[in-house]
Amino acid sequence: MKKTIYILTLILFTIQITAQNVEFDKKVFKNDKEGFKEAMKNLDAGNELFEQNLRGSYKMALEYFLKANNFNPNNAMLNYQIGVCYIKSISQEKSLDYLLKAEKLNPFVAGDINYMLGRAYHYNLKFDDAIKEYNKYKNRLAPQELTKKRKIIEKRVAECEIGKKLVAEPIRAFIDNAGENINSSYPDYSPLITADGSMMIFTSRREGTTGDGRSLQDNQYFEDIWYSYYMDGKWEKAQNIGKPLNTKDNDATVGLSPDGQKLFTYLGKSNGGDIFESELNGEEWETPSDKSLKKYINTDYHESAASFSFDGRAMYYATNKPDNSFGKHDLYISYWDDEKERWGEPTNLGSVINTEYEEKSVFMAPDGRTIYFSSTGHETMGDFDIFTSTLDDDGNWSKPENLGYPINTPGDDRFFVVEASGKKGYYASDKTGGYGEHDIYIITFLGPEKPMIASVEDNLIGSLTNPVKEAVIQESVAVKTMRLTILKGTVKDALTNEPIAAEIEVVDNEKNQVISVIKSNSATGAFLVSLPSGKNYGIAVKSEGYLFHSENFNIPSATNYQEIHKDVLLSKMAVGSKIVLENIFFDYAKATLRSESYPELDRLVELLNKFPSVRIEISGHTDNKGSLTTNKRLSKARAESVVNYLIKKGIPAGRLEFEGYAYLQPIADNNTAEGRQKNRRVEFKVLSN
Amino acid sequence: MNKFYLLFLAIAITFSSFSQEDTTLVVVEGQEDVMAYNAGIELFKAGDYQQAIAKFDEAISFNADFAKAYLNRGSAKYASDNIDGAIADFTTCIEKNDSIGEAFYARGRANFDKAEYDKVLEDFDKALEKSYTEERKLYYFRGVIKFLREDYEGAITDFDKAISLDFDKKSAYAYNDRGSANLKLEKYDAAIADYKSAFRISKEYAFIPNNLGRAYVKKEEYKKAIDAFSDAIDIDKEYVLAYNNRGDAKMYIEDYKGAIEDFNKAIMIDEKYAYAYNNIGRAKYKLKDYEGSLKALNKAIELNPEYGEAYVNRGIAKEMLRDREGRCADWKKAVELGVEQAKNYALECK
Repeated sequence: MKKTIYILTLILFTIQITAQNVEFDKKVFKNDKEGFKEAMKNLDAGNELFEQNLRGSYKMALEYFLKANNFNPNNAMLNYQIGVCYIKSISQEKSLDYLLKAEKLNPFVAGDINYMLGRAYHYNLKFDDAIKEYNKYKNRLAPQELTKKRKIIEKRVAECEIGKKLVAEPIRAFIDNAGENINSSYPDYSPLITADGSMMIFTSRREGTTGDGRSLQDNQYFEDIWYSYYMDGKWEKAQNIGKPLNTKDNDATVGLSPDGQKLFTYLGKSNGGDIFESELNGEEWETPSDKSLKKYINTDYHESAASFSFDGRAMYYATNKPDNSFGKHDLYISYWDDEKERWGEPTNLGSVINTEYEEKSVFMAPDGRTIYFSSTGHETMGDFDIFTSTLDDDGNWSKPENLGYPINTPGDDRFFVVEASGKKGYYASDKTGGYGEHDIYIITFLGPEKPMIASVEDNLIGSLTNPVKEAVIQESVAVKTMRLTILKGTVKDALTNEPIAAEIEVVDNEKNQVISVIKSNSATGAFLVSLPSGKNYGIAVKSEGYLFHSENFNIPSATNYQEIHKDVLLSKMAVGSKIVLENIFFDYAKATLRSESYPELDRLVELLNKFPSVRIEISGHTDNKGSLTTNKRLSKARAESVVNYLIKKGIPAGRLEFEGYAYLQPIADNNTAEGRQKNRRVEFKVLSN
Repeated sequence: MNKFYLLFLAIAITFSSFSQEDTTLVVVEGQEDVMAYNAGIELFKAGDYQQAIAKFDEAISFNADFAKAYLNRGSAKYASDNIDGAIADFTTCIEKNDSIGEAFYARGRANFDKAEYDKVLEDFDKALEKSYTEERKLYYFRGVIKFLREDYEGAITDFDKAISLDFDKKSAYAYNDRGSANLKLEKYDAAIADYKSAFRISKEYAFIPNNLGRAYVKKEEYKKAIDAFSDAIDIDKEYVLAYNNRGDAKMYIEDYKGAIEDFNKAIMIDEKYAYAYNNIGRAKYKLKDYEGSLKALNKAIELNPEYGEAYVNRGIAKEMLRDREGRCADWKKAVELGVEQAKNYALECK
């Protein structure tokens, strides 16, 4: 009896399958021979690409499979294959309908149908269903297979658990498509941004690529680099950056210095994938070169993703070279070697950042301590997620934090950069609703929800008619801001107003150490430097044949993000030219030079050595607090201290005069603290040339 | 209402103590002052304070040293809201005869209304010294003063004493106020017990279940809070605060629509009740109706241009409406108006 039931069930089951699953059999489609022929052609072409097991070919296979499916929508295997193509290329969430249909038509369509269904649910944020399917898959595996696949299945389940948590508490942000001036119907991705958010450089595979060539892998245009400026509240129409950055092959953006004057590019055809470097001279980009990267950075392995540190002295990059690696791609740091003029031997960022899985798409924020990168390890909700970590004063990285949903999704989330303010981020996504394929999106971070304040009142005291007011608020939300100052502006000739390619030297006055030297752009005079909070910065703007210009920025460590605009006018070495030495510091009410003044004084020595015939006057000035006599004495003594330092450094006394003018030559209003601060100064004046 | 209730107590006591003496009084010639005085008391009892004052004037015109006539005239003036006139009369009474404890109490009570708490305490000490019999009232008001001075522990000690000295219905106030002191000390269970005792003693005062609701809100027992606020509304259908509070409690259980209904009821009773508009702004924000939130907060600020919290909230609503400059202007204004939280948010505006 039992046996009979079993056989009956089996027969019924088989009938059901055959009743629904429609094979590609010419007998079935004898009424549409032409259509069948065409469908088979598509099926074969699709199968050939499918077998290649490449992301690009899965995407191309889709085109054929979908046509075949149009002809016969009820073939289990074809539905399964379409599902797999989506999962392994783009628009993964579209896979679910096809895989569900495949399973319905034939529950045994493929050995990994449950795993694929798990993936499909996973991409559709249906985490509980995904976990069920992953577990079903796991339970059906033979012991030997299970040993091999247990780890990945368990990882997927863990990703779903993380996904559930992240989706339940989405981060607050506006995520906007960067718009038609940036995006196209082709893939647009890997946006890079200057620290002040004024210029974007990105990679696009749009029409108009240099040489009009297409990749054999996916039949799409080769990558080119494009750029756009942010003007009057919007992004201008993106322009092809042209030669020499763009060639007829793939040219992709990798990393941009905060001032937008240096660029890392990626060349896929070079040596398994290498990083190149280029600098903007005026309006011309140099031909990308790997000269400085050959020795230590580029290897036979795959180097991608690189980012300049805020001072240009270090680079962070990703490579899958196996030595010192935690597995797959890891992130490394390399410092610039001044002497050898190349990037030095790299160091792995260590086990806090790197995992046995992939770490790629690294971006170091202009504050010099916040890193963003994409990883398939850590607490990802699936595939690559973007993580952030910060470097403490002792050089330790904090545990990477997931940036959260909806920035991160179960799919690949990569190529994320932020402006110096930390308020806006840029990334690429192929989510629905864009202009086609991957588009660049702008994230405006809103931070945690700001609780509104409730107003309630009660008659707490019976004998008082006036109610007692109470304003109720949940604990206030701390607003995180980046702690750095962006100093930007232009350098121009004081007389002609022509832009100057000047060197901008940033010095840590306390340590008497040059932090960075950058150049202003020769065509525009524009410059930008990042000054992370917590230092007394001396800034010297120098150019051949000009007197240097100095600025002082003492930025306590608690200083929040700010942008300072400063246009610098450089004066030629001419009789009567005057310069305020902003980085000379004295003890309070004394003429003793503090050691923080030495970098500025040494610059002055250097200048005097360069122009050996020049005679100068050093003058001391005060604000109007105190008596004229005292101030005269103090200002003169201070000027003398400076002169003595110069003499000690070998400048003949005969070239130097000093005077104290007290408060008789103010350059600012003595009625404000800021004005008085400006008036307390040391100047030098060219007496003869 | 509350003020009148206590005032009447004061007068009734003064009157009854005098009338006891009065029964033994033999009216003889030359007692015109007493006749006028008694007539004044009758008028006072009838609520005709102006005529009562005229009669006490008359009594005083016959006898310039008639201390109790000053005391009662002061009470009549107090009843007709002439607090300063009342205090002057109580002072004269004390000058004429400094052994009348009631006079010290009455002056202290009048100064209480003027928030002259040091003077109140001084007079109450004197009243105790002069054997003022209604000690519980002295302790009660002293407790209130301590409460207002945020000495909640001290207030509780005085309310304890007030309660221990009197077991009649009037202690509802003392229980209520002790509950409030416990509330301030975050002793919510004790506060709830006190409010419940007060409510058992008297079902007449809507503020008692309202305060009970507040204690439940603090204890995060929102359903019970909503019931208590509903009890307050049952007692006084026009009790704006209770509607506002019930709406607020509904916010915590994410019943934003229900909350808006309550805030709207508060506005129907008092169309100028800015708090309810502020709270509608909160509820609509939670419902992601940012335009609606903005509209309500605009109204709150229109009603009270110095309403710092509403500016903070409007800035938050404007943020979601992408009005970057508008939000910053609101937070800046809130900082000017002394709302601390806004400083933190204004950081984003640099």
